[in-house]
Amino acid sequence: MTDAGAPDRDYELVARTATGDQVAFEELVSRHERAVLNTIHRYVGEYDAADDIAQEVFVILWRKAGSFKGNARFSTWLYRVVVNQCLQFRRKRRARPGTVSLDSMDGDNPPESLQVAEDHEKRRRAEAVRSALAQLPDRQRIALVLAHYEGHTYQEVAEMMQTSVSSVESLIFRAKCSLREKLIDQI
Amino acid sequence: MDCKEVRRTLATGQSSALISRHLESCAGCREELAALERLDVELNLVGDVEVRPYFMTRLRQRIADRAQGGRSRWLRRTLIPLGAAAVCLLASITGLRIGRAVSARQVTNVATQAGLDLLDDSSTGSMATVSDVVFSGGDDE
Repeated sequence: MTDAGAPDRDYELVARTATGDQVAFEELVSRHERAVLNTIHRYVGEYDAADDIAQEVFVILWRKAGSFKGNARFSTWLYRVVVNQCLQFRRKRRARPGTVSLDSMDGDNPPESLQVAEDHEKRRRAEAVRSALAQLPDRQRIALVLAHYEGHTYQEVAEMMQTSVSSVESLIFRAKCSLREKLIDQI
Repeated sequence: MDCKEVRRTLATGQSSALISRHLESCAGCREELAALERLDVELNLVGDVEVRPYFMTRLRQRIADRAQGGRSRWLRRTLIPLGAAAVCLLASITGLRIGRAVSARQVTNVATQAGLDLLDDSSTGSMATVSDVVFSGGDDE
């Protein structure tokens, strides 16, 4: 999860990044890369694609750091980029029939050594959850990932998704109803 | 609060004294809360993935490539139209010169056939003079 305890450090680093300071940029990346990658991975469900999108997010950060004005938290600004890139990826996939479906979430997992060790039963259940997540509509999925997995408040999620708090509540309510139906056998 | 409202609020992870009171007296909503808690446990089975090795190295390379690509794109956008314009200009000039040379030769041929002696001066005179003579039929002589 994002280091929310030190937003001042983020502000300083992003300001330095905007002036072309590569050291500051690399520190900023190392502070957020894991959370960004995991958010994207939970959304797209494919490790290679998630890695690629995460790289793209940080390229945008490098190029557009100057557009961060400090009105919001840096993580809100960064995750807005993440949300846009995820939705763009989804749109591109839809526009190119014949490519691997996003819903085949088990097709591209990270190397075994990188995964948390799970016993067979846990792994089966986790796979069912991934599959259920993959079937959620885009906005429900991204709202759930940001709020549940990344621990952002609904207010933050609303800012990241550029919508209202009540919309986020509604998206998460519908997402959970849907997941309960899909996972009825295991909960 | 009715059950529908309570369940909606529970699903968004919020709580209040009103909801707690409702839960004490409503077995259905207590079961709903338990199911939501079980769902959270299941969702947490999807663990984190690790960042792929050399993430930063690849990122640096991507940024460098993009900058290089940007320069190439700029060069392509600038040089290709300039080159095309230069070729067009060159072709026009060459075409014009060839056209003039051909028409001068035609004039010379016609004049020779017409037996005009003024053509002896054509090497020093202008083409306009020669043309005038040819087209006027050499009546001035």
